Amino acid sequence: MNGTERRKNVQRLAILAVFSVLILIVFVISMNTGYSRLSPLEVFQTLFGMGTEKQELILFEFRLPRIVISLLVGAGLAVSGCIMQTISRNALADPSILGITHGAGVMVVLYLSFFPTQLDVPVLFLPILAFIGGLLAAALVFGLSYEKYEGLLPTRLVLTGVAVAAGLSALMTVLSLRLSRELYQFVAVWLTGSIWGATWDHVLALLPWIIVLFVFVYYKALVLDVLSLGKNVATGLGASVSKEQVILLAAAVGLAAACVSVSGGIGFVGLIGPHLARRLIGLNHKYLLPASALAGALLLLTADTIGRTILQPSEIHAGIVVAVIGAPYFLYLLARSNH
Amino acid sequence: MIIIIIILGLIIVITQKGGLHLKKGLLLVCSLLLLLFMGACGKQEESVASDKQKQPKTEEATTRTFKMANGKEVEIPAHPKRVVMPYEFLGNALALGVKPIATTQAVMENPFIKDQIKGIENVGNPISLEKVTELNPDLIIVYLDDQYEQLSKIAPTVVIPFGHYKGIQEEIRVFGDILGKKEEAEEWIKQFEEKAAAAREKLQGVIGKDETVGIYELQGKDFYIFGDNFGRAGQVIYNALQLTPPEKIKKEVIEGPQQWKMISLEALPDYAADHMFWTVYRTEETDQVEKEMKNSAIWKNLNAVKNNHVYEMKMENVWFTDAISLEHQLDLVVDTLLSHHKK
Repeated sequence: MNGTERRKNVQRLAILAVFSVLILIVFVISMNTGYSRLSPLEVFQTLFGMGTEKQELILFEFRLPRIVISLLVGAGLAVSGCIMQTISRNALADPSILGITHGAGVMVVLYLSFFPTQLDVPVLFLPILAFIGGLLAAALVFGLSYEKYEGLLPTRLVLTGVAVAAGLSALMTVLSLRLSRELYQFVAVWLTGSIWGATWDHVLALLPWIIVLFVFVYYKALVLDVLSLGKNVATGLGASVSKEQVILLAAAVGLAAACVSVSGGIGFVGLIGPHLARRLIGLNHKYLLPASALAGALLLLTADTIGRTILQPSEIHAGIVVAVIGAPYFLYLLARSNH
Repeated sequence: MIIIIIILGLIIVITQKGGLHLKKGLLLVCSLLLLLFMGACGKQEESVASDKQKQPKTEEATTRTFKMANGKEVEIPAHPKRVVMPYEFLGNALALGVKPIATTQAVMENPFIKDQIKGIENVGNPISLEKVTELNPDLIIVYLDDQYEQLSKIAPTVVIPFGHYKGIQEEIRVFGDILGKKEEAEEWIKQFEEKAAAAREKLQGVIGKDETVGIYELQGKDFYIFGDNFGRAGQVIYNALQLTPPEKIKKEVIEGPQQWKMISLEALPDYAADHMFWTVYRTEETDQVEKEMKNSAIWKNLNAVKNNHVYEMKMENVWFTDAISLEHQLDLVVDTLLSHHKK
């Protein structure tokens, strides 16, 4: 590694460090915000077991799970989006292009239209169903776009994904006609993405997926670098392109499905996170993957914190806040690229 | 579990191919571990806290067990003093003389309870768990159960599914049971039934024995029919006043799987009644659809339209289904029918 390379790597590490610090700052802010006015001292005391029952309830049962879920889902969706953007060689790809969100949504609506009350089921039942739905939808898109001799063509993947998502969306509309008004509202909120009901159960359900898949994907960082050079170059470099594409996409789907099942359909994070990271850090996946994760986590945590402080005692769901931030960002990018 | 994760983390670190990768891996792992550590601490604190909460409070008189609609049992206070009731059951509590400390904003717009809601807090929609905690309730009553687990951590929570109880009498009895106001509930039921009987008297000769009454709504651009347990004064019209629905509505809506049905304009004559109560839920498309409807041959051929027996009701008057609203709706329906009859 020559001098410039070394310097660049230091720069990249610095960016990662900055992201981490920002996350820490927002974390602290988030712990301190909410309807209850807990002073920083009280927060500190409660963290060490010296708060009142009420304070502990608020901090550890209501705020902290939300914060942790926001970080995990943000990171998971961003990494998933990063993989998809690389494999499909399309900077506008994101986890929902494989129809995962819609697949999960269809499952949720299907279940709710037959079993309107969720009184008897464990709290994780709906997320598990959503997860399966997401996987099935992705499998459908996979299956439809896989060519025996050509492998996974990126354009075909994207187009199939859009078509399947549209079809599932229509199916969801038809199914939701059977729902009562309250349930319909529940589904609508779920689709835009909300961290509202986060509990520690959700965290524990999501955590293994994130850890295992993050490690696995990071291990494959070099492969991602090679794949981003295009199919022919990659094959020339000795990568078994089809196999790697399928494996990595499967990992991306797993991540995205797990995140969506817990937080509903939060769009944009999987799109903006890696996008932002790529602009700051470049295409080297050994840095890009962590950067995407951190960017996504930061974005979602900020969105959720803003969402629950702006309209107290009600709140704006995180998915909406992310969209509000994301849309102008993309318009800005578009404007810049035209010059 | 934490130990497993720490070991995993160490494995990641060890298998890194040295150099800068090591630092990055460490950074990632450390952040993860930090989060987990805080989470783990939180969990431990939480179990200590819930132990503290389980000890019976000495100021509270007694608690009792209540069995919810799904069969689950809940320990609730015998005489709840600070009740949080988000969503639409508010009027039931007020009818029994219990003033909840908080509810959702939408419910407070009920015109029939305007004078009784001073000082009731708004918990937001979605419900702000923190605000509810701050309010220190001793009982929470909801009808959606997606928030049950979190709310249960704050105070005993009871779920009453919407439209689960057939008729306001049964519903008020349940509320009387939960709120420790059984006598008041029976009193209310008695006076409501007397009112209903008096109302039926008034309607003698206004609505013939063979005449049917239906409840319809234009929602956005779709048409709906309602049964006897889904609002729009259904409970009043079919249960209290004991008016007759058209056969088709009776079979498909009232005795059907859900208390509402969506139909098209063309199907309207099949479900028409001699007296039709209408509500309109306005969106951008509604005005256009309403105009088309009123100009269509289908509409003009309906018996009710020809005899001027179509009664348009204001949505805010017939939306709520709690005890107080139903009492007012009883008067409203009777007055509407009487005033039309005089014409």
